[in-house]
Amino acid sequence: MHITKTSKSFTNDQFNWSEYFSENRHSYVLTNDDIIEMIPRVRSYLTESPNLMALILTKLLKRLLKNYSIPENPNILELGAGTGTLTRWLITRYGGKGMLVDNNENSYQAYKNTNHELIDDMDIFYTINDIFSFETHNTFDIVGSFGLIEHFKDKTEVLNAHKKFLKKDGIILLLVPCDTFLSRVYWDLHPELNHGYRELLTAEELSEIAAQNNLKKIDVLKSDGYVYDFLAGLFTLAS
Amino acid sequence: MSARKEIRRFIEDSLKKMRKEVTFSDSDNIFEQKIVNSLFSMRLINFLEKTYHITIEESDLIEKNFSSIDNIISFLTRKNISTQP
Repeated sequence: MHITKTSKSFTNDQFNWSEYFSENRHSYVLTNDDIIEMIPRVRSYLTESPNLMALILTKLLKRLLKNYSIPENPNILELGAGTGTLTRWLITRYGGKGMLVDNNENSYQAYKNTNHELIDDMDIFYTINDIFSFETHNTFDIVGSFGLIEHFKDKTEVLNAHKKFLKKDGIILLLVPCDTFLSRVYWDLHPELNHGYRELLTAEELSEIAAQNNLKKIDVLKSDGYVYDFLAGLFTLAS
Repeated sequence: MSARKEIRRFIEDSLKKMRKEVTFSDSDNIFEQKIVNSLFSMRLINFLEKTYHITIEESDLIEKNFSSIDNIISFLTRKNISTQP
């Protein structure tokens, strides 16, 4: 249970019930010092937690994939992979092997530092490479990204990179931050995370982007219970 | 072997792979104490489903159910899994 903070300067008889749901009356209650004190507290509520992420991601992907038959030991490609969270989840669940592509050396180091002994149990190949120019002879059952396409205004090029090495009957998994009040607050409160361009998308917008790029939507679902909201979309190539 | 021992062995084996030397009690919150990481959580869920032939439902996926050995045992008991050898 969490008890909400009660205003120190606003008594019940001062409360204007007629305006409870209307005008923003914070200036009657909050000083600038109150607001400055509030920000770190709210930031601490909305702090990333790897374990909570693992549970929420599991909840979301289990729901997304429950009616879809993932081939045994799938071959997985993750673009802009960072620490390869999506691939690690898929291999833990379905086995198979993964290729992670990211052009950032720091991402690779972060991946290696994410308890590499456990990762080394998994058949994962990490290549520090540009997602648009890297080449491979492999084709993949699953091509995915987690927090990638929202950084590109032009979605066609980045989605083409997803389609390039996808098997004909393969699937594309796109995970992006979702445009909700919570997500907007999260990124406003964490300016240190805002390096460059990022779109927050609704499920409808993600579906529309996919359709414009010849992807057939199987489903798009929103997470529930994390410190920001994100979408997971399951797509195939449109015939 | 009891479920309590199997789960402790799973956690300790994972910690060994991570080269972490940590002692923890059955009631210690392994998430809050940062004993384990997100990859471990994914594997733990998979381990529990396969070992005890259960389906962990969406509503089960809350931190409290997996945050300590005691809580995992309580969770398995609620799932009607015998936790005795």
